Amino acid sequence: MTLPEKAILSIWQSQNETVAPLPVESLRRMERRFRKGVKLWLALELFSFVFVLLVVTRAALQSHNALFRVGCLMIVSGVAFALWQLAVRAFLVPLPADAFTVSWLDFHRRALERQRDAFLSAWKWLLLPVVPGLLVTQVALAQPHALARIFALDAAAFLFAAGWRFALGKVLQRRITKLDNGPGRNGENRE
Amino acid sequence: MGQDEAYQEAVAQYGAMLRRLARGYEADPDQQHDLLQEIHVGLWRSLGAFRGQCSLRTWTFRVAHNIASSHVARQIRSKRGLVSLDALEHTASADDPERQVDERQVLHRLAALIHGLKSPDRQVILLYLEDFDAAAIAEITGLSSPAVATKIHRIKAVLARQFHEGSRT
Repeated sequence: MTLPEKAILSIWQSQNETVAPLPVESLRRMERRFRKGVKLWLALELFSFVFVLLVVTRAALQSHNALFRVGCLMIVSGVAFALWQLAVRAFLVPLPADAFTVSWLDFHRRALERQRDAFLSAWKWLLLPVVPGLLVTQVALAQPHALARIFALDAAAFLFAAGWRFALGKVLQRRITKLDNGPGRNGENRE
Repeated sequence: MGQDEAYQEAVAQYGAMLRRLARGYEADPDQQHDLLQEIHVGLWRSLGAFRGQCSLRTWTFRVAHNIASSHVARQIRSKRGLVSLDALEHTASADDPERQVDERQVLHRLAALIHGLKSPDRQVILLYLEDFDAAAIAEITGLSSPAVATKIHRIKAVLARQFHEGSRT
């Protein structure tokens, strides 16, 4: 015997506990609690920056090489810029209130697009800002004859890190294309 | 209608459905509670932009499903082992001849079935269980009506297999 389809629906809907609307003040409080979570994340970012600042400043103060000190300053600036960009992209620009009101497919597509764009552009805002300072400190410290080899290693590391993110971005792009070309896509809802 | 009034109306009409929706996305009772609160906050916040672009029901369930699917996406662990309706339709029934089909057991098995589904199959089955028709499900999920109809056909087949009792019971 098969349990009738209507009976299954009826059993599911029998979980019918009353749900009262939450008081507006509670809703505001919960929204603020979410913002506190964001602040905690930003505090962790700030802590990371302070750590980099202390380590690099200590190294700069212990050195009498002016070029090295300039490089350290550039590294600190680069890290500050990268962390700022991370915060802006992840948290400081909140989703608009109506972000959740589109269809599930469009919502899912937009989320994939945001992740893809972040990965594809990460080399510019996450990796590149630190490179000039790193190169200057290496020029200041390394033996001239070793510089070519060090720069080659730098370039390889940069290309690997950027390429990895680029590859992840491409994976996400394939998922977006698959979503767009999927048999279930409702063309009317495409934006 | 203002934001607060629209929220009150949405919860008065669909509050129980939202609670069931949270159960369909989250197995852990504490997480269910958190998810439901997240849905309430998101719904209230979104209703500030509600100008009758669609029905309040469509708006409410779009917001709720989008928030819930973001919640599931954050729970990396829960991504493991999710399957599609298509895969379920072709697997053997987990039927146990000794099983008693009582309501509690049906609910337990329904929940387990839903928790194991990938998106958008999970959204479709939850809306189907709430008696939404194919057009309404299409409006909420963004899937085409024929695609929704196909999924509903599969859902019916899967439910028939899952809740088919052996003749010995």
